[in-house]
Amino acid sequence: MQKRSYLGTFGIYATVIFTCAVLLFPIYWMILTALSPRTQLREFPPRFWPDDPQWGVFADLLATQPFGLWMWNTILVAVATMVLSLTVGVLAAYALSRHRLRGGQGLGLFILTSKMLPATLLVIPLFAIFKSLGLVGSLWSVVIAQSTLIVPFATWMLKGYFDTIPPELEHAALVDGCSPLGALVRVVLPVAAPGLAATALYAFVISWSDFLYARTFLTTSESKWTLNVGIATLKGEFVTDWNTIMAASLMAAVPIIGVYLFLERYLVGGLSSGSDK
Amino acid sequence: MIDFSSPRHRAKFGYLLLAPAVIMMALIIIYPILLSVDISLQDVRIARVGGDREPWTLENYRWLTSSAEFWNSLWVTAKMVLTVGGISLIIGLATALLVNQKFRGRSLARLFVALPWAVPEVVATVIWAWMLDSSFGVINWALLKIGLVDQAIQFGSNSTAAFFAVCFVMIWKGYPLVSIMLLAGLQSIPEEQYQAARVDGANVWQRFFYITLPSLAPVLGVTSVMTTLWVFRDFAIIYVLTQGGPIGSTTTLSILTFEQSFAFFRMGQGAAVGVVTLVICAFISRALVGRFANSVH
Amino acid sequence: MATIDFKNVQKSYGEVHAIRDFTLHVEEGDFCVFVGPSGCGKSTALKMLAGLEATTGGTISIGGRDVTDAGPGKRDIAMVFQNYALYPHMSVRSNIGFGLKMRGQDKAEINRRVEAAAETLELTDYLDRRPRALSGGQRQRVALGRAIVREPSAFLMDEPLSNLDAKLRVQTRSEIVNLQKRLGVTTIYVTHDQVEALTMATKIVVMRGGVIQQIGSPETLFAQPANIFVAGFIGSPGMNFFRGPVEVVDGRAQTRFGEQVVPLSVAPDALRGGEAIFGIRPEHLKIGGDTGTPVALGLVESLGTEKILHFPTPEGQAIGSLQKVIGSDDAGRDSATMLARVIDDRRYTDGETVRVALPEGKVHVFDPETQKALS
Repeated sequence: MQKRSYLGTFGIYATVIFTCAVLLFPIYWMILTALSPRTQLREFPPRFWPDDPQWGVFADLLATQPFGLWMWNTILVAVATMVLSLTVGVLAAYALSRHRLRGGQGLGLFILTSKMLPATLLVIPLFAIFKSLGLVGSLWSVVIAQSTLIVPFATWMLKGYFDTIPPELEHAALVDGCSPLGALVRVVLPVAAPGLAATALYAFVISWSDFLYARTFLTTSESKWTLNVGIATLKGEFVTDWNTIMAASLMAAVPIIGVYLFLERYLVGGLSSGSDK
Repeated sequence: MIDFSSPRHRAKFGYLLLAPAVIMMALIIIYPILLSVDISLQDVRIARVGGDREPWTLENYRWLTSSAEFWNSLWVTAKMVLTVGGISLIIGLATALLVNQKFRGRSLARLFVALPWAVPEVVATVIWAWMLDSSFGVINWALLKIGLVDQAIQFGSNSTAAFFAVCFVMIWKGYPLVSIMLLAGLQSIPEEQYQAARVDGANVWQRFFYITLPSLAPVLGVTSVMTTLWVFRDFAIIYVLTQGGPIGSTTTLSILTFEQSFAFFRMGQGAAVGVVTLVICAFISRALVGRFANSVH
Repeated sequence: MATIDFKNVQKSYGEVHAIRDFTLHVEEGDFCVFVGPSGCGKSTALKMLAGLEATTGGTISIGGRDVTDAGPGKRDIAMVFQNYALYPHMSVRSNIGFGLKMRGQDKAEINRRVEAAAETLELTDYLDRRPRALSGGQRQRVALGRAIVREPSAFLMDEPLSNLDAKLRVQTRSEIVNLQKRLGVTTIYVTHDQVEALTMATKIVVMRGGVIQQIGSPETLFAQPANIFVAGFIGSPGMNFFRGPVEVVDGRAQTRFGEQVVPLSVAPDALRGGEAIFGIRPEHLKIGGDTGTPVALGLVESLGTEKILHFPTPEGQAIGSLQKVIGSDDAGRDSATMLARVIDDRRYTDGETVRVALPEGKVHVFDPETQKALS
């Protein structure tokens, strides 16, 4: 390796810091706004440092809006979707990875292409179906609708993980006296644990971020909204209440950002396993 | 009871594992797609399953071809795909090259660069909506301060401004993924190739054009197709930021599908727009799927 | 301990036949090696015996019991895999004891047997480690431990040495042989390495293209190969082949190697046509005598006292494309070059002319059509 000049090193750091600053500024601005007193938000020039942080905004939020309920709904939906997609996905992904099944290749292709379905198209027939089943307004409708994206996604991602586990492992388990299901549960799943965790959290993130399905199926009662629907509506209703909106946004973003920070290296692997193999 | 450990029955076990997924896909993806085609062929306002159905007609598709809204949304979608895709790809590649350099704190930089991707779309959109606010937004303040504009830009009511506002948010939200994928592609290029090129006397630019770009071509292809499809499918950003307005300047095919179905309750027409979108997406993803077909098995 | 029988076992994937008409009887306590080039079907045969692959036809029995459709866990076998397939999330102790646990043994008994197996394999100090924390050789021994602890009626081993370095491989080779002798468990061992087969087996099954070529003891295979493939595959370097005329003089068959007349120990009646393929092992060639055909040495590879001499096959006697039949270790061997292996103190130089003689009784004769050995 040739040694980089001091100027080059400085250039790299300057560019990196500038890039990160530009990219992260909106997130900083969200935090700053959330903590600012409402009156300060109408000042020109704006302040770039919270000299009078208003921590009470989070408490106000919980008191004035059914915000806690929205968060609870969002968690319920995300956990249900995660569990459902992971269960179905693990079984299917394992079968696709290990068994030379008739039609398996077609199914693999189908799973891939389903990532490309326009959700706004699917939402129409799903609405018609849920309407006739009486599911509109129920959180289950959102769970099922999100599964159209997340089940194929989880299956594909998990198949990538299973493909990295040598089939000899479960052959050994079978010879050792396990049933095929026993080999999956006792040997393959523990070995695939990091992959399972990554997939589960990824499913959680996608579900948490959904807006379209919740916005369409859960309009009937405010108590059934998810965070995203609530925040979007806040933005429409209280255009001047930016500190409240930003506080709500912050609380909606924090769990996901936390998951992301925890999972970053898995996500990159998982993403590329579904994209550029 | 079948003994699935028997070599004779092992394949059956595979089908058994696959069954829940297949049934689920059939019920929640395939059936709804067929149903949406069915709906698009009926003159129906609020679609229902079961009960009376309208006779099949091409009325919705006739409306589509003669409707200015549809052609406008097609044009808006195309413009948005080119703007968002092009800019994301260029700065995504630049960022990937940057964080692929060896420097201290590189992993932290990578973490930060990809962070916007983890922000939920609705949250990202409301942050930008606030920053782009025409009275108190920080962006208008900065533009005025630098002297780029004489008066605050009305991102809400100016068509061009609204279009670019949507593009901004999409790029901010979508380009980190582009750079992550390109970074993964960059890292799969063997270091030996660069060393060999250096020995042969290739300079930085030659190394970039003769090694990096050709090796990255497949990833670039996949990434641009994925970005394109993402712009095609996106709903939350546009809907929360502009609701497709003003006067249709940010109404993409996705927004038009939703608007027809759930704002005007003309689900037949909405489904027709959606089916056309699906066909377009299918054509675009053919390139991607063709590449994947080999790696599926 | 059990006998193992394959009766007309077939395996096909659609139109592709991976195994044809595989019939084999293995005695109790035999060390039977399946050997052949990659893709010859030896691993498939082993997997069918283990119950990891379904057969398309025929029957497999272990200890007289038909196990063709039994699951791998119900065949009373243990298997050692090429990549060892240790369970990475379990300690060495749990790895070795897993099979016993699955069979519902009680804890004390499992512990006792695991410790005994660990003792045998010198793994006692590593019982509480994870496989990740072990060296390649130790992992290999854990894999063996997992097999012996169950005291099964047969061991199946799929290239268990190929992930070890050369030195460790030779050492482990003899350890496995000794272990097998002591336990007396019938063993089926798959390898692509004919040296392993010759040194370890009591019975060798040579396979090619899904078909058994020859079954026999190492000595039989070496001395009486059934066809050109086996002759070329077994031994290193592999057998030399040349094409020659068949002449009958005074009721005795003979051929010519260059200008040397080579008497054959084959009855003239067995030789149809005027030509045959002949084989001679590199170590059987007599170099530097007063008789024989003069040849110019091409390349001299010296390994100290042992030397491999390369020289051209006499004009018009190369076997040409037939060489492709032989998938031996030196697959890239040129049909127009022959090798001689000599152990002496003489110095040979490139380009030097020496006489090469073929001793009587060491020449193998093969039918050019069927490629089978004639005797």
